[in-house]
Amino acid sequence: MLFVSSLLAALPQLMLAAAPAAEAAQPARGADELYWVPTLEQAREMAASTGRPIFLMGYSLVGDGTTYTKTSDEACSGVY
Amino acid sequence: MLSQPPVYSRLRDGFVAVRFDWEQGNHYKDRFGFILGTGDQMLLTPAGEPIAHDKPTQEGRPGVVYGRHGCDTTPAVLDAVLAKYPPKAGEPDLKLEWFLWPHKPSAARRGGFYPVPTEAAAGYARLPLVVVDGPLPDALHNSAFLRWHVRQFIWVRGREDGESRLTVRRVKDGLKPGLPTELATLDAAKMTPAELGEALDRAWLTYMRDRPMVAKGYLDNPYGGWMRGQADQMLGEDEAVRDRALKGTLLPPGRTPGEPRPY
Repeated sequence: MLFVSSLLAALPQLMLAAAPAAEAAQPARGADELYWVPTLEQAREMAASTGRPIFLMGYSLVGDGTTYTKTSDEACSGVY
Repeated sequence: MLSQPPVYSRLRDGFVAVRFDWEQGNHYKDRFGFILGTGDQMLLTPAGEPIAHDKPTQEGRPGVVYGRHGCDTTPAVLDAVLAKYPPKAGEPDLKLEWFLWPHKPSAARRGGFYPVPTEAAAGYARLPLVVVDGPLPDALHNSAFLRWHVRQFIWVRGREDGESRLTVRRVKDGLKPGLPTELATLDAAKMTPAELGEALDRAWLTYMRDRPMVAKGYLDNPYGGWMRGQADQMLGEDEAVRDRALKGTLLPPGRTPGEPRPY
């Protein structure tokens, strides 16, 4: 009985571990995967703690969120 | 380059990344000697010093610019940097304060602030916002929890008193008409880390089902020619991500299929 209740308690984890094959091949995620921090100061703090070098990506975004790139309602204002 | 797995996996596993907006670039103009342009990149040591390359550059830019006008950010280039500045082994010990969105005065322009406002960042990065009010729940002090969830959102510190609450919402930039902006209000003090994590996953997936498609302006306007070769790939990836989100099988960033919850 104890074994059964332990098994039931662990069921959500077991289901995650046996994820369906559909999850196996995820599409490329690009920028979503990175650890982005808001400022260079925060980047230096994380770099000092983790030893990681820093990657800066230049963006033309200005304060009000607008750029000259938006062309349709369902496209965001930025670039890829 | 960021959409190529050999590139973004190295940046994910070995680097700290910053979206260096114009106002922040202007704040640091004296330090670097220029403002980093759109699509241009820099690699810095952990102490924040630029890492030069020896490749010829277009347009006479300094030898510390990578990407669009400089040295291609190839896997070999990133490997060389990581060999010289190797990160600590294992998963990074994450702290929430590195990701909370600040509002700082620019040293270069009176009245200027950096980084860009949260609403602009959320629209640009195409991520939902999560506002953290009241005392931080224990889960947000847990590095393993952050490894699973910090990349799903733009993190904003709300008021520090009152109830511990997380509010997830999306900005209207690129949002279909009629969709609510609020995705979830989570009473964090009454939730276990597992419950909180599952609720964040649900809110994130809701966002991803209607995530704005990538801006097509750069592909369509005359100045977007340099990206045209990647246009089909970019749009195809966006459609694949949305398709997975609609099916409920899209994994949040940084997770592997079947990976057990680490907290």
